Amino acid sequence: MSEYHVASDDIALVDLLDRVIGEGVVIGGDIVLSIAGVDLVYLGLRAVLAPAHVAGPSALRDEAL
Amino acid sequence: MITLFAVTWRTHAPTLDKDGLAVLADGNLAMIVGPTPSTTSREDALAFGRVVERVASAVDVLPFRYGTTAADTEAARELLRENESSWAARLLQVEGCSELAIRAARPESDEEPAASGAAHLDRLVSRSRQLDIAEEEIGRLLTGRCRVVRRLAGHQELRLSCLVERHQVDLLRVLVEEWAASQTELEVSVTGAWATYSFVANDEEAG
Amino acid sequence: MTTDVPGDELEPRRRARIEADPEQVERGLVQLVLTLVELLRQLMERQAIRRVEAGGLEDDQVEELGRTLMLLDEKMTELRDHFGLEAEDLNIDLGPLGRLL
Repeated sequence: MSEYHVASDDIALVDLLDRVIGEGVVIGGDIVLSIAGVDLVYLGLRAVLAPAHVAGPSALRDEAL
Repeated sequence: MITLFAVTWRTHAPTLDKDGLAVLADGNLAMIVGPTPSTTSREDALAFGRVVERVASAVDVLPFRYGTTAADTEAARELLRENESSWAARLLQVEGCSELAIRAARPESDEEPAASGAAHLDRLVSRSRQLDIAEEEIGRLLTGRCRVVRRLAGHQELRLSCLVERHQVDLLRVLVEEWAASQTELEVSVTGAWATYSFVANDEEAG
Repeated sequence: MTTDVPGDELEPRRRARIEADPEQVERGLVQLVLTLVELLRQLMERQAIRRVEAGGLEDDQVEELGRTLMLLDEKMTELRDHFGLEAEDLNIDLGPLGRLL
């Protein structure tokens, strides 16, 4: 039913990537920027360099910042 | 940390027996989950998408955005419980449908910079108008044949997502490809059928 | 190597992390900055198009608007080339802000 009928594989991959990165259900998220395992910056936005949303209750500690 | 792939009806949940995938069930729904690789990458995003598409080829799903995770299976089950009624409602909204992705844009070209600021703006305006016209023309093809059309954000590019009942997918694809063949200035692509990513986000997060 | 926060032993990966080694930091920051600048540039371009379509701008305003946009476009290309980034590298998921593009 859901077939890969495409003009070319590359175009299809771009569209698939578009979809999984841009769309779909989102449950909010926290992003932590860290260097060498040291957490430095907490991003409360869903602005991400590499999408990695953590679903569920915030996992941050009070002393994160 | 586990990755959340998609939600589907419990009664239709697939049997998944490879790649570490598992199906968690609660109430009327089931969630497909799996291990989370230690890095994120385009390849991983595509692999994620392929899992979702594989499940979507057999049953209606609510696909998660790539990168959505939960601490563990218990946390995932909790999410399923908390969101059961809203997710069930969204599944009903996309029942029997797939998503067609249509894109149109001028091909990249190394053209001369405009001769003046006004000419540059003129060029920008006419290109934007060209895409708006394309949207109208494609829209006419889609009317009555798809449930919803959404124009997605795009820079100097027309991106349309169509919520289409599965039995209409092939016809629509042919119609758009015919239209595309008549276009001399725009490159057009139609891909799908995809799971209905563009039609399941929360209203406040849509886009 | 991960420096575990005390008490984190049972849940070593509760948070999504963007790990960066020192050499990657600059590249990551450049990418982030250029992506945001590009976002603003695109926003301005779209707004300019809307303003021109709406009418009511003086000729000299149109000329200056267009020339500034041309310059911004040129500069962005130069910056990208300088840092070895392609247009696709400056593509960020901004959630609700993404709607602005």
